[in-house]
Amino acid sequence: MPDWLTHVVIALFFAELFRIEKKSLVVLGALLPDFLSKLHLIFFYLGISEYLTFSLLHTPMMVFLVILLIAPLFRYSQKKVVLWLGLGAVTHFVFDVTMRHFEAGMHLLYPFTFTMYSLNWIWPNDSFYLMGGSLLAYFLLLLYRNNGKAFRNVFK
Amino acid sequence: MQYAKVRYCLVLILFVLLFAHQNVWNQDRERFHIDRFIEDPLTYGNHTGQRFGKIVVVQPETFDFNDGDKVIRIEGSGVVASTLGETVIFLDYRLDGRMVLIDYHNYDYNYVLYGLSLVAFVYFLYLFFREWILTKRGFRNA
Repeated sequence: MPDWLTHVVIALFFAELFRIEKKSLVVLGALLPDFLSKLHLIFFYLGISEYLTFSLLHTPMMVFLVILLIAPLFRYSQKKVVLWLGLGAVTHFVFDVTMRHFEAGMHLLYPFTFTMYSLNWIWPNDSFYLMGGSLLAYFLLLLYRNNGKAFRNVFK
Repeated sequence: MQYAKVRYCLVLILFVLLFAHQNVWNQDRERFHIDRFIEDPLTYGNHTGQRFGKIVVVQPETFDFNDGDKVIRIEGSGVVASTLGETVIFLDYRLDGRMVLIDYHNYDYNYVLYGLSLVAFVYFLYLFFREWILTKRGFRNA
């Protein structure tokens, strides 16, 4: 997986692109799959991790169910909360599936199949490039939004 | 209101069922474990797989690898340890008990990424609590 900073910046980019009011929800959605799969650490320290697996919580279906379950925690338009958390989660999975492994991948279609999918493009430690690209895209978008006229003149 | 509660319960039930399902699947599948392989390579060998950890010592034809659980000796030459990070190795677990390196990749500077992830988490908390206030009935608009 890319590091969390890359996930956060990509989520912020899309939150800014779609002019989303609550950017933190998109960022939460982008980190949620990793938060859920890291739950095993609690049970690891309790010494009962052998009997429980949380790895399949890092799947689109399970994350979507968790989003539906946590949405009522927010006193806000439920449709917007689900949509924004979902957008963040989608960015997470899209960028995770580009990661390269010798043998691994993501159970993208769980519970329909246990097949693992990966595009095998980028080693996780090379996510510096993704981070750089996403930071550049985010700052260009901010620049465009805050000084649109001046930015458009560059391309005239 | 009643309909919303029923819908919420249905989602919760579906989540619990799928969580149980994945745990049953996890228990049922024949999981490869290094201890089982070392004890009985004839049964658990003839298998390839990746391991994640640190290269501890490099010798001309072998190297020692710490996967966080134990240190194992791998056959393979020309290996270089990772800089500020871990290594993922792809191994052939042979029937004679030998573990032979097929390929490896160094996650150089991975510790830097861990540090940046921590920064990202702190930023997320800052952003979240700037937009939301925790009340007894959940989070409300700040």
